[in-house]
Amino acid sequence: MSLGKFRLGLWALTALGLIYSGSSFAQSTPSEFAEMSLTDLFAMSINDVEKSAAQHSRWSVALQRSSVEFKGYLDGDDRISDTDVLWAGPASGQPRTDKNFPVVPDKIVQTAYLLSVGYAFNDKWRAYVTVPYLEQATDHISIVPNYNTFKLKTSGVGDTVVSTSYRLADSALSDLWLTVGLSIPTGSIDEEGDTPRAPGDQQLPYTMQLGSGTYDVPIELNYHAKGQHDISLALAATIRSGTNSRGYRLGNNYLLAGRYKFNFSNILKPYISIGVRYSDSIHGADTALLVPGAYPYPAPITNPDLYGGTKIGAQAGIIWRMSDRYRLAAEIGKPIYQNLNGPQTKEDWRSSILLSRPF
Amino acid sequence: MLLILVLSIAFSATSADSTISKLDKLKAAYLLNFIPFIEWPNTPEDKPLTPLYICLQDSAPFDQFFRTLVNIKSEPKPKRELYVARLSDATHCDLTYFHRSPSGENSLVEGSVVVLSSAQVSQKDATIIFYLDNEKLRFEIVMSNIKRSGITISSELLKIAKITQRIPEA
Repeated sequence: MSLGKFRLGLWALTALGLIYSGSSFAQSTPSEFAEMSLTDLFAMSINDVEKSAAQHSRWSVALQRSSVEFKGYLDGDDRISDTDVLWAGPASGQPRTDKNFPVVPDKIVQTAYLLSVGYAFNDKWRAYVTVPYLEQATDHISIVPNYNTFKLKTSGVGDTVVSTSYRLADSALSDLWLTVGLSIPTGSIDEEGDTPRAPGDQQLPYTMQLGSGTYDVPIELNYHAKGQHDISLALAATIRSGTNSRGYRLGNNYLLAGRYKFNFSNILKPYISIGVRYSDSIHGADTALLVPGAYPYPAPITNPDLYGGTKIGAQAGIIWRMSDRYRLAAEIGKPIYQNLNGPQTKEDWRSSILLSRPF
Repeated sequence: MLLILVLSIAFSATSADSTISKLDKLKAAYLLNFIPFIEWPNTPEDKPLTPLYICLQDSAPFDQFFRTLVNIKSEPKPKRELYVARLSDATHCDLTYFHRSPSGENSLVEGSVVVLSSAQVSQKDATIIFYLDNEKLRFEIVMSNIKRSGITISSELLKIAKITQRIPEA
């Protein structure tokens, strides 16, 4: 489980959506021309063709809702039960180790609403601003009296990403884009809630925070084959910098993803994708999350080493060209392999819906 | 290492950086759509699978775009296999497209359907010539050259074409 990883996925998905939802349906793609009949061509005016280029607005807007749910535990790629991770307490005779905890999250749901606005300076340069609004809820079980089950929630604006895309190459068959951004720490890292650690509200664990607290650099390389087979490849990373005001830095994230879009129709484009994500663990620690004693971590999500790992996920989705200007895309995904620095809650599924008005 | 690999694959795939005008895209699409409406005298009915050679003058963006269209055209599937060649490299052409007046390439176009990008292109064997009319791309068919080459053009194509008896003055 890693909020940072989730954010990388969101950012990459948004960028892919913005770049490819536009180009996939551009009225000048070879596949569109190849499917035109003589009658279609005869009815088409040069203005229609030129207009299709001119109609491409300099502005793009995308609204995306993405959700991811984490449930169950993995240590490496070994599945372990919530009760294995929950320490039964001193009276049980079960030894306390660094793999069991008195407080255990058993379900985490994170939802992000992203608003992304893009501006095309010309055919080669584009700039984007993406602002997320995050909602997070974590269900816990614990051995602490009056906290046997409890839920913590946070919500608010996350980190704002300003990015620029440059088209490195373009041809009738393919194009290649490089996107580099700056993630500005506008999301809070001081979210508090009522935990069993002490009476009243205390600093919440890393997963419940809304931002990274550091200036980060998202970078992405996208290759899009536009010929007979519509294939997109993305190589993305989020490189963190420095240490935030609470003394830690989220781990770097890396993603290699590929997508194949089926060319059944010009209106509906189903696709499948697969992605490999790797995330580092957290560097440093927020000492406010620690408790005194031999085992300072009351819950796995308070241990910075129990973040990160490798995930391979498969997604299926569909893009609906609602009109010349608007696209609606929906996607569901499920991990097919996870190897986590555990014990760590594993990702169960993710979904996304994207309404966009591409350039 | 992975980044270098992906970059090198991507760059090699997109190395032919090119742009093609919208008008040329329309011409390329027309060119491909002409084929089902034309019968060549050198293609007997009992040999429908004889390849059809389409020759293009050296013009990287148009050439590349047209080849892409040929590769991805699904319906209707051309009856004959299509080969696209550069005119300078070709030994035989069934359909030849000129976007500029040719210099020494005339011998190859005998028996070929010669399509001109516009009336500004000069070629004596021209059979189809693109022109713009009221902001629409249209084409005229030169009947004298059609008859001479023995090509048969279907009435469906003739219906939407402007029929000319001789090559118009540029």
